[in-house]
Amino acid sequence: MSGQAIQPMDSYRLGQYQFPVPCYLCGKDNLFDAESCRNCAGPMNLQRYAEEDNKHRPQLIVTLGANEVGKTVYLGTLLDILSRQRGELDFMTCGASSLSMSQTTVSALARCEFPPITPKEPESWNWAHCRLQRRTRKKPLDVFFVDMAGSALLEQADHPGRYPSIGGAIGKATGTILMIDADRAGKGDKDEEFFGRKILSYLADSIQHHAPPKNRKRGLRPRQEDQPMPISIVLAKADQNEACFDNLSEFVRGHLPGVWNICQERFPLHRFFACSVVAGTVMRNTAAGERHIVPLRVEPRGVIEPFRWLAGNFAD
Amino acid sequence: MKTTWEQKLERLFGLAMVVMFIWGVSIGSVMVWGTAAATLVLMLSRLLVGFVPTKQTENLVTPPRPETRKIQVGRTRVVVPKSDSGDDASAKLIEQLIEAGRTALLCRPELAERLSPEQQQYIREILNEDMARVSGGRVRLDPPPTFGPFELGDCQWVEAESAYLDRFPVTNHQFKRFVDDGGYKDQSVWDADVFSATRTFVDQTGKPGPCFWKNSTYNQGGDDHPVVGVNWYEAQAYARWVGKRLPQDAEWVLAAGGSLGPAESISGQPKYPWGNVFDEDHANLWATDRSKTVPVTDHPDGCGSEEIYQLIGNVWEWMVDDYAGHDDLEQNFGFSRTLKSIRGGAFDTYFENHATCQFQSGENPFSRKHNIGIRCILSIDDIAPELALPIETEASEMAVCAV
Repeated sequence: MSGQAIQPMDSYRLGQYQFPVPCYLCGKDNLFDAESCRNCAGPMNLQRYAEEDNKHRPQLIVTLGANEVGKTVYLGTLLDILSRQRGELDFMTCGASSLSMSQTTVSALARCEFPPITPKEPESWNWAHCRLQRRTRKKPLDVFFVDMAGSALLEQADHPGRYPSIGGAIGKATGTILMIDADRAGKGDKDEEFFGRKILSYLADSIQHHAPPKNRKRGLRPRQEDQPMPISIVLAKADQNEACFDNLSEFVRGHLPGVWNICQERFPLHRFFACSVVAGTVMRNTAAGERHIVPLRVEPRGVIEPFRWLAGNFAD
Repeated sequence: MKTTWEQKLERLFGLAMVVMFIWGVSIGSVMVWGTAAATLVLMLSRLLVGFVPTKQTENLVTPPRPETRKIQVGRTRVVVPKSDSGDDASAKLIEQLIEAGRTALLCRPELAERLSPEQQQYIREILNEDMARVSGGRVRLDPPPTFGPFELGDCQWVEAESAYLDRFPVTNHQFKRFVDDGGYKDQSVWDADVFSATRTFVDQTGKPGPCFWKNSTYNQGGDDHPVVGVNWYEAQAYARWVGKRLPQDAEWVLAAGGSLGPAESISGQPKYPWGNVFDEDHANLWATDRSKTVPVTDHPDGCGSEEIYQLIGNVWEWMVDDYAGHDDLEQNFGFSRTLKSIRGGAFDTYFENHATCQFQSGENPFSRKHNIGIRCILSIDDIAPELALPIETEASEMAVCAV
């Protein structure tokens, strides 16, 4: 047995605990090695990235929408498609945990099932960190996606402050994907329009509230401060209503006039998109006597376009 | 004071003026009335005596149409020129059917007996060129994946009979013949309960045709691409018009995966016509990255032993059967009708395990999707025995090819 052994002296590391690290989303202090914020449960690597590169703030894309509109399916499929293709957007997922959302979604869809509903608890929300290399830019972009529970989102819109992570994420977001159920809207369900308007109103108020003061020096380029946040309004489940693909603006004006108006008035940089991931659904009776909606097959249409447009409008 | 001469002249002048006025009026009225009377006489003469054509109008006269009669071939009624000389009529009909690409109708025993030996040989060649003979056998039909995990006990073992299956999906060019021939107005090829709805089966310009066409024609360069944008009823009407029918699930699976031997009953059927391993060069799916349909002759490596192209990929294919187990399904389309089975996957099918020989999906029979097309089949019983390729011949031909 050797008498010599190398024992690392980690005691200096204890000093790091003396310096709290603020959460990028909510600003509350955390330990330097915290994985997620103890206040809002947001990922702490957002702050680490922001500290490393103080010239570019992380590109944070929030996906908003009512319950069961298909946010998780959309995001999971988008990330999977982007990681599979090689083209104008070279895309790489960073970190194993960032793959979880894609894995859950794609595995379920391949079995002709939908992924489980995202829980209301912020600790269980899906975050994904990806690196995007665009042909027109030399420097890659670090993009963070967040998939939040629709029920929590609507609760936050009604009672701002209930979910600090939602407020923080929307305030720091550099791009937004708002999802609206085209199938329900096409069938005349007015709830869809109210959900959309409610979320857009909340979004507009949050952006105004979080807008940085004009002459504040943060080391960011002026364009980043001034440019309005791009918003992709995605009409999901458009496979159930082909009119969405055929004439989108007419569909929105006809079925979602309130959403159309609020976008024209309050969001200078927005665009509508039609999208579908699955082609048709049916109900399935499970052995336990429950009934679930299951997809008939997976045929993504219009999934990349909203993100591609956002990426083209990032203020970098 | 005027003299008597002057007075007389004045009276004469006045009288002359009156006479001239009366004469003028009468002449004018005679001219008007004369013209009217002449027109009337001419019209009456045309009606009563008959119109005498001039040289110029001779060409406008429609030649007398030959008398026709309809004969029933399968479910389709074919219009035949009525003639005492049977040879002329048959020859004309055969030419018409061949020209319209409806040679399958000539394979029917009702018409095949009228063919000369040379014509029979010609039809046999066309039949074997366009269609592949799939020998009957036993196949396993898995429950649809939407039912969740299953065990072998949940599968169905079905006997499928021998048939001729199209080697290629139906192309735009082939479907246009149906449209041009007035297929959308031919009641005999449509189901009675949907015939009234055919006026809604229109293209983007409101004319009869698949929903992505314009002015009853397809986009330039789409000749050999599979026809899409047709619903199940249009697919069935086309199949009837051309003298065929839509395949059953078991027939399609048999053609794609082959028959189960007695020792292969558990896992004998391959996942794809070419084997069990997916190859993106063998089929047009999402992974192939084409993002649209390709000509029906592409991907020859994806054919199985029967040389049937694109059973997997490019476009889904309508089956005649309902989507399995529809009793347990409540459709999410707002219709009370059952879903119809589709198989094979399409250019935008994301997962390769959704485009296997066994995978079944469903679609509303009224849907006119951008990725669902048609492939037809012909039962062996519908082919005159003298035209069908005997199994022995087929086997020996295959052996010669192998050598």
